Parts: sequence; structure tokens; C-alpha cells
Amino acid sequence: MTAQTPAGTEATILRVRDLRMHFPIQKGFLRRTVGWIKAVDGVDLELGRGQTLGLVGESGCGKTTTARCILGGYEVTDGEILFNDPELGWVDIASISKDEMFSVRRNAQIILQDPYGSLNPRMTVLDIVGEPLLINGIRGSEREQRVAELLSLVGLRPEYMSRYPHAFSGGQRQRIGIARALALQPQMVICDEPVSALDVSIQAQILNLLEELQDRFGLAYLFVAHQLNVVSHICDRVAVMYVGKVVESAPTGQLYDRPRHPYTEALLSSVPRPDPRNQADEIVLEGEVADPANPPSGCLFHPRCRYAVEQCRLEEPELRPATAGHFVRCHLADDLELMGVSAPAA
Amino acid sequence: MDADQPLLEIRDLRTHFHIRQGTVRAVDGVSLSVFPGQTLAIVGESGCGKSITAQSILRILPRAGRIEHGHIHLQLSAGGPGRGEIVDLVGLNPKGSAMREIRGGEIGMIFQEPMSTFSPVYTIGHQIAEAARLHRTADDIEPRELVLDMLAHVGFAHPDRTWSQYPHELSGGMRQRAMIAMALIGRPRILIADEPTTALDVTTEAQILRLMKGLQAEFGMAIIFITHDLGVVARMADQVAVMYLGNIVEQGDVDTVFHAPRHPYLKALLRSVPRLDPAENIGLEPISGMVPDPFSRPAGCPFHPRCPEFMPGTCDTAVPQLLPAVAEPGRTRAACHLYT
Repeated sequence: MTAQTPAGTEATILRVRDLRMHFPIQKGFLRRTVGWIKAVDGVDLELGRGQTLGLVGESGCGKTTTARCILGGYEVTDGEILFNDPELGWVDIASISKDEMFSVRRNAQIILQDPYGSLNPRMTVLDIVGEPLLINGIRGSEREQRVAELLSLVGLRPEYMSRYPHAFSGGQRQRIGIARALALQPQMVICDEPVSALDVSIQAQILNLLEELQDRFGLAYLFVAHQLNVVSHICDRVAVMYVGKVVESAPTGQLYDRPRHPYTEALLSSVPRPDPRNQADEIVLEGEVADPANPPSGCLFHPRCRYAVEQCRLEEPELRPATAGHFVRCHLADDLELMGVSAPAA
Repeated sequence: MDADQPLLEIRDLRTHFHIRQGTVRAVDGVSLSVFPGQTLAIVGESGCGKSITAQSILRILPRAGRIEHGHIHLQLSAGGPGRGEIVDLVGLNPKGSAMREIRGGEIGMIFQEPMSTFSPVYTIGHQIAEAARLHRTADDIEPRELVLDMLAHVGFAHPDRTWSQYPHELSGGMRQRAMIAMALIGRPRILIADEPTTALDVTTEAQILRLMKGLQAEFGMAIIFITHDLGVVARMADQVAVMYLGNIVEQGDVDTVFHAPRHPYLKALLRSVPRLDPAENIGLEPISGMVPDPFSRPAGCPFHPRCPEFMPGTCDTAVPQLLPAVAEPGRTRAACHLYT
């Protein structure tokens, strides 16, 4: 995905190349490895400064595992995770030292999905939001001052600092999570399904807050989500994953208007739209998502693809550029005329 | 069967929860009608009372919940033991035999989480056959035959293999299909679906929604579809009731509800949903504030503290009624002082 930006320019903050994360399947008393679950098996991403990249796909497609790999949560099997750290310059998170990771963690933060599970119920808001500050040597009244600023930044009253998470609603807890992520003024924030657990009226508040904070601090977001309408709203670029691989990635408008991978087409047509007069003629996919421990031959999507030909069963397609900035992993990408979201409903 | 006669008619239902901290008026004056073969969607955010309405109909409320007021009139099927009589479900014993006949026989139910419907220690076939034995006593056919037939209807390619599988052996979408088979085995005339696709991926959701529409066309049952997703409402519903804090705030046919909404809450809700088409996405207008704590319900209209069209002196004193009293075509019924 390096077509539009030459390597090493300051415009890019994260570049993931051919990332693979395989988990062993162990069996028996001796825990012998009998197979591998290829949770992530070929992910290429590029995220620009101040930009939002959406990573979408259905459960089990590897989007959260990808996010965890980027934050150094796993020892990756293969591939590069290049992060443009403001202090260290380009570093590969896949093979980084502990000291370097300490610096990267200041600049790459995460917001989690579950506003209930992600805040320790025994810690006050001051301790939760102030913990990253404490780790980086900011203490006492300076820390309190900073937490108060952070809370007002995310729309919470600083007086609430001494309360515990149970006193807050889901939307407010998500604001606390955002304040914690921003405590060290990071350059990049991974948002892992940040609004999936929220009601729609609260979801809109949080999305607007994320956009405001991005404009103000020039944050780059890697936005992991399964809600395609939310992604359409907030992302500049979108990468679609299927069984551990990126199958398509493009600027948001292009991907939604003119998808080039049959999986993207089916995914977009499946979303129920809040308008009874504009319901897409949904493409119902037959069968189930492929098993990442026992993937089919050739293209992983071919057993469910309505356009599949013999070649799809035999050869695995590569991720290749279809047009400038639009990458697709499909043998037939140039031949198919796929339906986008603005196509008139049939 | 007369299509103008409602199968189920709820009149001024009030279901309250008496707990240590006080009384929660979870459902507070809901009236609804369900017509044969139609889909009624009840939509609202968490805590609006949509699930409690469903649980009140089936009389499966949690222990602290009580129906304080109102009627739930159900027309029993003409061929069944009730011989087409109309019964008030509020007057029945929740644990009595009449209510047990109605659950599964007249009204089927599916939930968000299929694992709570099935026991993990019996096979799918065993469990659905048990429901068949309870509700299909008049049929001469073996329960096994009925079950295999129903499993094929809901899309299992090898019903006899599914018969002997345990719930954990099925994927989420397949479990949802098995749950639908179990709900429909008694051939109910009403199916209550409480967020049946919320936990599913979007392509699986599309499969299940299409299946439900197909089964509705085939069996002619009415569906009460409870959801928070306005997209699902637009795809599935004939009639829509929008709930907020235990009240219906707007009600009408699906096209009018989406294209001529009147209540400020519904208007705001529609403006706060991101659109799928990036070209249509301009700015989101969130609803300010949040749903009030159930113990401190605002006086007057429950939406007034968040309402952009709040009229002091009116909205905070009087509770608005759903108007017009009788539904008119091309117009929704809204509970808002702007229209009184």
C-alpha cells in the first residue's frame, strides 16, 4: 500500500507489511502442536498522520488481533509493523526492544470496546486517567491538574475525578477511556469498536467527540469496527478483512461507491439501511466463514463467492492495485461490475 | 380469520418494578395492536421498556416486575382448545396451564442469545421434539418427522445430522436458526423476536432476516420485532412503535415513520444514525444529554429535558397523549405537545 506515499515521508505514521500472526493448536498431554490458526495472514496497512483508517470485517476475521499486534501485544509470526515514533523515528514493533516499546506506548494508545470491562471498578477516575501519567513520572498536583484538563477535554466535569466508574453511564465511561488514551498526548490511537456497545444517540456524541479531538490534536486513528455505517462516517480510508487477510482497501468514498471485491459488495448490501424506500437488494452469502485453521484452497472467499471461476479454487490471489490507492485481492477485480451503496436499489 | 381484527391488543399496559431503591415504571401506559401476518417493530434505546413489554405479553417478567394496570387481549386460534375466544393474558396465572399452552402454541419467542434458550446437555432434536410433543398433540405425525421438517424449513441442509448435535456444535447463525425452528414448531400465530440479530455479523443477520420474512410469508404469522436498530426496522416492519422511557412516543406505518416523523425524539434519533453512503454523511447531530435515571423520571413529557423544542410550562407539566386518537393514513400518531 505504498503507491501514494513514498517510504519514509513524515505523512505516514504506521505502515504494516504482510503481517502474520499464527496461533498454535495444541493437543494431548504433551501439548503437541497439531496445527495453526492463521488469525492474521497477510495484512498490509498504511495510516497517515491525522487520518482515520477503518479496519472492518466480521467476527473472527482478525481485525482485533491485528490491532493487538500493532500495540506489541503478541510476538508476531512474520511481517513488519513500522511505526513513525516522534522520538525514535521509524521502528519495527514486531522486533522492538523493551525500552523502545516504552516510548512507542506513549505515542500509540488504545480505546477499547467495552466501557464496563475496560475500567477497573476499584480505581477512581483520577487513578484511571492518571495512571499513564504516573508511569511517566508525573505526580501530585501536576497530575491532578492534567487529569482535570483531560476530563474537561472529553466533556466530563473535573469534579467527578474522585468517583468510581460505577457512577457513570456507558457513554460517560467511554469518555473516561478516551481521556486515559489521550493522557500522554499520543500521535496514534487505536479505536477497537469504540461505539459498538452504545445506544445510537450516545454513539453519535462519542463519534463527534473523536472527530473534534482528531482536528484539535492531529491524531491518527486506526478504527476497528464492524458497523459499516459508522466507518463510512468517520474514516478516510477503509481496509476490509476476511479470514485474516486484507481483501480490499481504498479511500472510503471509492470503496463504498465502487467496491471491487465480491465480499465487500456482499457486506455493503447486507447492511439494513434506516430507510424503507432505499433497501438494497441484499446479496445473501451462502454458508459460513472459512475456518482459519483449515482454510479452503485458492481464494479464501471462493466457496461463498457468486462470481467464482475455476482459477479462484486453484490459485490464491495477491493484493494488487486496481486503480491509484485502491487495492484488491481478487482474480476478477478488473472484469466485475460490482454494486456499491449509491447504486439504485433493484 | 378477519384481517381487520387484531390478534393481540394491548391496552394501557403498565408494568412496574418494585425494588429496594424504589419503583421503576418500566412500561407506563403502552397500547398496541398486532394484526395477522403483519410485522410490528418496537424500537427504542436501552431501558425504554421494549423488552419488558414483550415479557409482559408472555408473562415471563423477572420476579420484581408486576403488571399494575391494563389488558392484553389475545384471540386464541379457532382450531385450538380455546376455540377462537378472546382471553386477557393479564388475568391468567403465569405458571398455569392456560399460559403454558399459549407460550409456544399461540405465541412463539426468540431471543438475542440462543444459548439461553437451549439446554447445553440435550441435543437440538431432543429439545425441539419436546416442544413439538407439548404443542402438536393433535397431529398424527411423529414429533421426529415434524422436527426434521422444520429444521429443513429454517435452512439446515442435513436435518438428521442437526437432530443429534448439541447447541455448542453450531455457529451463532445456525443456533439462531435452530431457535427459530423451536419457536415455530408449535405453529404460533404470533412470533415475538427480541433483538434476534443483534449479536450476529451483518452477513449472517441478512440471512436470518431473509429467513424470517420467508417463514412469515409461508406460515402467515404476525411478528413483534423488538430492536434498537433503525435499519432493521426499515427492512422488516409494517408498523412501527417508537418507545422512550416506558411510553410509546410515536407510532405509524413504516414509510410514514421514516419519511414524516413528528416527535422530536424520533426526528433526533434519525439524525443521529450515520448513513451507509459516505455521500449522504454530512454531520451527526447527537441528542444532548442522556436517558434519565429511571428513579427520577422527569415530570410531564419524559423527553422534555433533552428536547430541542421544549416549551416551558407545557412540556414539563402535562404528559402528552398519542394523537390523533384514531390512526389516519399518511400520518403518524405522536405523543407530543407540539401537535395538541
